Amino acid sequence: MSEISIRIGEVDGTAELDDALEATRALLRALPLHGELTHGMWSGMTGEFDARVAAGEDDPRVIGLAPGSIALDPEHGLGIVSYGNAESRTALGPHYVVRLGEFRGRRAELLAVLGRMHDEGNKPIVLGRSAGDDRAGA
Amino acid sequence: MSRRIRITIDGVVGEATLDDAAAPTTVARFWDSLPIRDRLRHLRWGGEGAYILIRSLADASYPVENPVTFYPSASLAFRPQHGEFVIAYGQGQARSHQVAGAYATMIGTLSGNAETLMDLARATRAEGGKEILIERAGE
Repeated sequence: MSEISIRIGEVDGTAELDDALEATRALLRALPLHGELTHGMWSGMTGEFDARVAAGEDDPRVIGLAPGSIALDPEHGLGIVSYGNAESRTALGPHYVVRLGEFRGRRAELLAVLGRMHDEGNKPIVLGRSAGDDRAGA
Repeated sequence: MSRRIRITIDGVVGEATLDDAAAPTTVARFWDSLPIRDRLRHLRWGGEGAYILIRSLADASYPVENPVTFYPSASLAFRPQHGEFVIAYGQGQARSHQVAGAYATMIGTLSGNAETLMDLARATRAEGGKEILIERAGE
């Protein structure tokens, strides 16, 4: 597992990612990653941002996302973070994504700031290498 | 009879025509609840639309007149289950985390300043909630 830093709006936290996944390794190589989170409109309590990385063909796919999940939509190059009930969908129906990991440090605060997007609008997101994990970015 | 309502979003005024013939009891109930002032937010599960919850009209047992599952652009839809009133600006769908394929009543269509109102509904996704006022405009 690799730990990364994650900032959403004014909240700084951490996340733990499964580095057995090719998608995670691609994301780690792309750090630091600055983006803008927009609320999901088909997938429930989610935010989406341009992650600009690809997943491996063998990375396992999921549809349901528990609160605090970090996922990658390989077809659209979107990063997805969830703060409540969520399942990956498009206008056409269920849509598979790769679940990379989940929030760890300041999890509750990260969920709360994501939840406020529904009323407050877009939030900036920054994913970076964690000071406590030398493997991040390797 | 086609009743008309005035919809004001963030100070921008438009109009819609209610479909009394297709959904007489739902439209009458909605009409009786006006004026409504609330905060319009983007759909989270249903695609290209924005909504308010009219909790005084929420009734899961209420029959769904003129039922649809998909909302065409510029349509107004109402889901009695949650009292959800939707303004669709593109392709929308009646659904939630509990009900994947729900039905809503098509109660009307934007008819005045429709493009601007749809732009404002679309903008709730990136900009967040916006104040909305729905009033009677005429019968």
